[in-house]
Amino acid sequence: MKRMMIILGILFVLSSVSFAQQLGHHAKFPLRCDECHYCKKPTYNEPCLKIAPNFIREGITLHHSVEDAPTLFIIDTLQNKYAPAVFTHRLHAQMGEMLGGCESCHHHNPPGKVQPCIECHKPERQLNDLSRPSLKGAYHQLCIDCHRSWDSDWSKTSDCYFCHPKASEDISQSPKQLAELAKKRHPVPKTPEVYVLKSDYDEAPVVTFYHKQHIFTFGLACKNCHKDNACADCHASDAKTKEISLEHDNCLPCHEKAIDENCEHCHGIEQKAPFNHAKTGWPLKVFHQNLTCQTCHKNQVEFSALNTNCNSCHKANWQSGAFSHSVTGVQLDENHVEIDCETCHLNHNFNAKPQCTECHEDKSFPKDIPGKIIKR
Amino acid sequence: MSQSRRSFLKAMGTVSLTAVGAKESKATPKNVVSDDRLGVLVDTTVCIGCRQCEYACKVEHGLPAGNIDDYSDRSVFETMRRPDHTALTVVNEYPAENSRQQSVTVKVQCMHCDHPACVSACIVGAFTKQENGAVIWDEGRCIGCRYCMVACPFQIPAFEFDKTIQPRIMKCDFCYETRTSKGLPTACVEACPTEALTFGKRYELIQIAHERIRKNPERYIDHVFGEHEVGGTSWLYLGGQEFLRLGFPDVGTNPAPGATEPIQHAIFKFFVPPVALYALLGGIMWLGKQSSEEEE
Repeated sequence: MKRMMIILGILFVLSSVSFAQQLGHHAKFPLRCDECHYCKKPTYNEPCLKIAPNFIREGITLHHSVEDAPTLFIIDTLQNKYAPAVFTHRLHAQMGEMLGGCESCHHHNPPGKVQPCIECHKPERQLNDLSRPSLKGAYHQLCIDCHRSWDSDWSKTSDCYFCHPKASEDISQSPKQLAELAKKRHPVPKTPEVYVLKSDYDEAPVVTFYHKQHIFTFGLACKNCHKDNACADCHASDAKTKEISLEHDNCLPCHEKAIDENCEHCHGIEQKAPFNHAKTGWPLKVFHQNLTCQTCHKNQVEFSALNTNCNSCHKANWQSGAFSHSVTGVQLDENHVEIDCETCHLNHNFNAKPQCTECHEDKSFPKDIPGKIIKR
Repeated sequence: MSQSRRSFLKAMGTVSLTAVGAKESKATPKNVVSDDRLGVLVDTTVCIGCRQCEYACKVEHGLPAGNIDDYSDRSVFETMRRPDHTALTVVNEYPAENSRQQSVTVKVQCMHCDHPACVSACIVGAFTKQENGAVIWDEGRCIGCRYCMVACPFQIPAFEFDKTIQPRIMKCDFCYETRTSKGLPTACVEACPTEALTFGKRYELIQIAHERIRKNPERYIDHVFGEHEVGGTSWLYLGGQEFLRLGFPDVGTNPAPGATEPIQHAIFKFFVPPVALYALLGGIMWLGKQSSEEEE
């Protein structure tokens, strides 16, 4: 058996070596040529490379906030027919946050900062790469998707003149109107407190979803869950009567473990109470209460218990001299303020009762206070 | 009397046999189309129904086009329209499949089949399939029989019934004279603001179409209409729902002249029917003669 394993091992090494030799030229890779090349026979001199092949797309790597996005663009490539279109870029960037962020328009962005459309989509259609729309086509194909769904009967508000005003109504020359457009913001969507949903899981059909808590306490951004919400999801005429639905996929990856093993985490017979940190055995006090989960549970997807020793988080700023003891409610007097933390809090164990025995034989906390108690 | 008829038939048989040798019967015309033939890919999921293509087509062909602003009137979609002698292409609207989708607008015009039934049916050769894919009509040859209108599986050719003198067969000509014979895109392609229409070599368009389906499997159904329909057409369509629901006929993948042409051309190949008929008649007569001789 052992010999067999050795022979198999040698065979494996040999085959992988020969495979590595075969991989000399990328034409032998398991890739489709037309994924990257738009011509049939690419050469080194004329590789006819597509600009944005799908599989090496890394996208925007230098992000900026929506507020930093350019406010307005005046698109005037079609001036012979229409007045220039004024595109409220920042407003649209804001709206796009629930669609998939900047990438929902800046899709095949090369790694780095956000590139404008014209970087890849040239005003004239490139006949050697028909799969890439021209600038005009790219603009329209992107805009139309939302503008049609927004104007569900596609009648008055999204016709050509909605974006391309008639020459007589050109606003691109009016600084006052432009300034007004630049100010436009999409109102912050309402965040409902809680959804109580009914599932088809008979044993515990009620799913309680604390929507607001997920945002403000658990620190999720809208786009963490709302990845491809269309405008019409909120703005369509029947949006209010539409039932909210949740799929298990919506709760991934944070609740992966619960979905697999612990249905009761979300499913119950009646509405569940919101999450309370005290249940974990460590009630949050006034300072920790205002923090988002990730402030302490760093790099955790599914939160697990942390070391409750203060210094496990407060590494740098809780050394003597750098720490204002007043925040604990005890303002140290001038005799104690210079003393090393460890003198009272033995072994840096701040959860345990502070000891006075290092210096005082007859004193003990909390009967004796090394300063005065102040209001927090 | 009977004697003279027999000699006549004998003579006729000899004539017909020589005819077979003299002239080879013509089977299905050889496909003249080029591998690099052109086409247009219509992505119905991108079309917005602005009808700029209708306007551009009318202007290109010198038909009364009216005011371009009138084309944004979407009430025309309330009725289904067909291309006719006043409009060689029309856009129709079809309802969405579900509430998350938008209604679909579909441009209709001649598909420019690779094996066109109109060319096959035309008895005077007024219809021809060009090397670049266009199926065009020659006014000088047409006798107005309108067989093409009956033959077309997409019911495209229209007739100027209102004209008494020199009525024309009207259908999309792929802008052959003015544009595509020079490699330029058709008027409708040039007018399309969303680039729902892509003009290019047919084989490239098929690649692009399948690429789009592969990248957006949720957006498209896995079917390029025109790739195989009626043996392939120069105009190709991508759709988000079944093409039957978008007003496309269920035409199958066999060339439209496929049923009629082989029958006609095969039967008359080598002059089989007349020879067979004469042989049969001759046989019967010969048998009849034998039996009458026996009776005597």
